This record gives sequence, C-alpha cells and structure tokens, in this order.
Amino acid sequence: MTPAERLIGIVAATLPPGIRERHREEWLADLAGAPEAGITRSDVVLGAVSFTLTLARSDPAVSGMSRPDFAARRARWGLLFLGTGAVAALGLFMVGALAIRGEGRLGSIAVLATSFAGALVVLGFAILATAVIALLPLPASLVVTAVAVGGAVMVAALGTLVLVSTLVLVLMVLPVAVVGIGTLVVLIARGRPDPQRRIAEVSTAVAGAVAVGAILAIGFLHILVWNPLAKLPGLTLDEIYAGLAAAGETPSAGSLVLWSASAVISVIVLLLFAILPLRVVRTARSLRRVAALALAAVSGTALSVTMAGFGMGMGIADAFATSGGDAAMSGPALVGLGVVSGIAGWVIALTPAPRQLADVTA
Amino acid sequence: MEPLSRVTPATVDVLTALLGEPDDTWGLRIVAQSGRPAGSVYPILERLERAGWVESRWEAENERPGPRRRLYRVTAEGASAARELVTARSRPAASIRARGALA
Repeated sequence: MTPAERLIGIVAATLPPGIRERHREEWLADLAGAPEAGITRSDVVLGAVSFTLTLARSDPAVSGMSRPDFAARRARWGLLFLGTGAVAALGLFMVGALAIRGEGRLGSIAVLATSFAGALVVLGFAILATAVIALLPLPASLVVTAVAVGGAVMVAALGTLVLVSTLVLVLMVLPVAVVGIGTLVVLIARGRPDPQRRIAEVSTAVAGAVAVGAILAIGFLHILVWNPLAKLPGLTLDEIYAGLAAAGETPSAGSLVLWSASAVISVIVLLLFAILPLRVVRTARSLRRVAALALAAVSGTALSVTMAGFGMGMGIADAFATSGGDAAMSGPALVGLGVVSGIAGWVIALTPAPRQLADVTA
Repeated sequence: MEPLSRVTPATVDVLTALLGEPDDTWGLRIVAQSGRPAGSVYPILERLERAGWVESRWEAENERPGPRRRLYRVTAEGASAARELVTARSRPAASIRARGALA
C-alpha cells in the first residue's frame, strides 16, 4: 500500500460508517486514475481531506440519525473529554504539580501533564459547542462565544473558590459531590435494565463499597501514621504527636470526620441504587450505571484524601518547620487511583454506543 | 430536490462541467473539466448529491479494467435548475480553466 493509499484509508476512517466505505473506494479509484485525468495524486488526497473537514456531519442523510440524537451523541463525547480533563487537572492540583513547575525534569513533566489536562477541557467545550450547533439553528460564532464565556465563568469561579480557600472544604466532601454528579451522569449513561445481571450489579456495588472502605482505611493510615513518619524521619509517632500538642498544632478531627461521613454517604447511595427494588430505581439501573457510580465513589474518596489530611499536614509544617505537602508515597498513589478510577467512570458512563450503519446508497 | 444554501463560483464551475457531459461522468473528470481542485469539487459534489441535484452510481464491472469508479450525472430536476443558475451567474466560456483533458 502506498503512503497516499494509506492516507486515504486514514481519512476515510474518520467518516460516519454509512458513507465510509463508499468514499474510501471512490478515492482509491480516483488515486489510481489520477494520472489519466491529468490530476496529481496529492490533489486527490487533499480533496479527501477537504471533504472530511467540510462534511455536514449533523445532516441526518450523512450521520444516519436524527439531529437531536446526533447532538446528544456529540454532547456525550464533549462531557467525556471535559470530565476526563477536569479529573486529571484535579489530581495534578492535589499532588502539587503547579508548585513544582520550575523544578527540572519533574517540573517539565508537571507542566506538560497540566497542559494536556487543560487541552482536554478545552476540547470538551469545543465538542459541546458542536453539539449545540448541530441542534439549534444558531450562528456558529454565537454558540462558540457562549460556550467560551461559560467556560471562562466556570474557571473564574473555580479560581475564586481557590483564592478564598473554600476549595479545601469542598474537596473534603468530594465523595458526596462526585456521587451527586455521578448520579446525574449515570442517568444519561447508556445501558438497559437486565434482570439477568442483578448478581453482577450487586457484586459491582459491593466491590465499590469495599474499595471505598479500603481507601478510607489506607487514607487514615496515610494521614495519621505514614505521612507524619515520612515527613519526620528519626522521630517516633508518640514524639510527633507530643510535639504537635506542645506547639498547640494538634489538628481537630473535623476534616477526617467530614471526609469519612462523605465517603459513607456515597457508599450508601451506591448500594441503594444497586439494591432498591423501587420501580423508579429498577428502571434506571443497569450494570454499566452501577459500575460508573461505583467508580465515582472510589474516585471521590481517593481524590479527597489529601484535603482530609490538610489540617494534619499544616500542623506538622507549623510545629516542625517542614513543608506542608505529602512525604509518603501513599498520598500520590491514592490521588493516582482517584484519577484513574474517575476517568474510567466517565468513560464507562459516557462513551456512546457503536454507531449503526445507515443505508448506503448504491 | 432542495435549493442550494450556498452557491460559490466553484459550484457554478462544477455544474457547468456536469451539464457539459452527455453521459454519466467520472468524478475526477469533473475535477479536470471544472478547473477546480479536488478539495473544492469533492465537497460540492457531495452537497449537490445530498440536495438531489446530482446522483451517482458505481460504474459497471465490465465497463473498464481497474478499480470501479464513481460516476455522476445531473438529475432531471437538477438539470433545469442548474442551467438557470449557470445562466444567471455565467462567466465567459474562455475563462473556465481546464487542467488536462481525457483523450
């Protein structure tokens, strides 16, 4: 296969399934006959690229689906990219990626990772804009402007939250917030109720509950034992707590209680969704949705470990003149688990079903 | 058949090339006859086909050796609308660029 034929194959692969094979064959035949027509092969390839970029994909004759269905499908992809980028950005924020941006190779990786997360968020907004354009007879420039302004307002609100330090409180109750968002998300996740999969649904919810419990246990150990010992090697745990008390920096249990309660509430919501026999829940429940909600609970609990230990970290920093960040690897490991499970939950909840072939014209 | 939402000079050139062919025409021949690049002609043919001005088919297996080509023709309705449009926006025939002709 020549490079030009390979390019044609790649370009054709981006077309909707209903018209993909027709145009692939057409362009390959044109490529073969280009010299006969006095046309360059590169012109044929560029023609295929131009066709793909300018195709009215939202037209039902092209997509094989109605405009609302097409817009809904696009919106799912937009939310998928937006959510993935947001979860990744949150995880990077938790591990202090912004703070190390100037520090050698690790700092460069942090900048690259943060930029990639930001790009996913921007891409998500752009895809959401195309969904709106496909559905509403509005000028594209108006929609893009509205989405850009909406995105900027959201980022400004987040920045304000950070500035007034309310983000710390919000992140402590992240499990509840995530499960609340997760509940909305699973309602638009695809999947049909299937009585044959009840055991799998319950097992998945129980596995999620056990995972959240394990994260709580590991989180407590990280905040109260492993991290303090890692930050102050050479001191025993008793000496560390004695030093905190002497400096008046013994943290209150409030943040840990808040975080734990939030995680427990998320588990209760998860188990109720998987078990409740109420008709309204039964008709909404599917294995895909239970799995997405379980991953949301795991992600929210893991991502908020750092903030749950905020008071302890600051107390040790003030009492012993150390940095406020995590020293034990269990902290970043839990954040990593939170990011991976959060992204997995988004993907499971939002990835559209494979498209059906539309009628192919002869 | 639907009216065209956008008519560019390239659209007129493609319609002129189609009207000038008595039989079903290979897409790349339309590129050559219109004097426009394939990057303009392919999207225009797709829009014309979707609007019902043009229809296409695969050439028959025994018409010619080699991979089968996609052939285009103006529909009956599209032909009269295309002639009106081309006449309304006619350019001097000499100014239509030809970038190679089939034997």
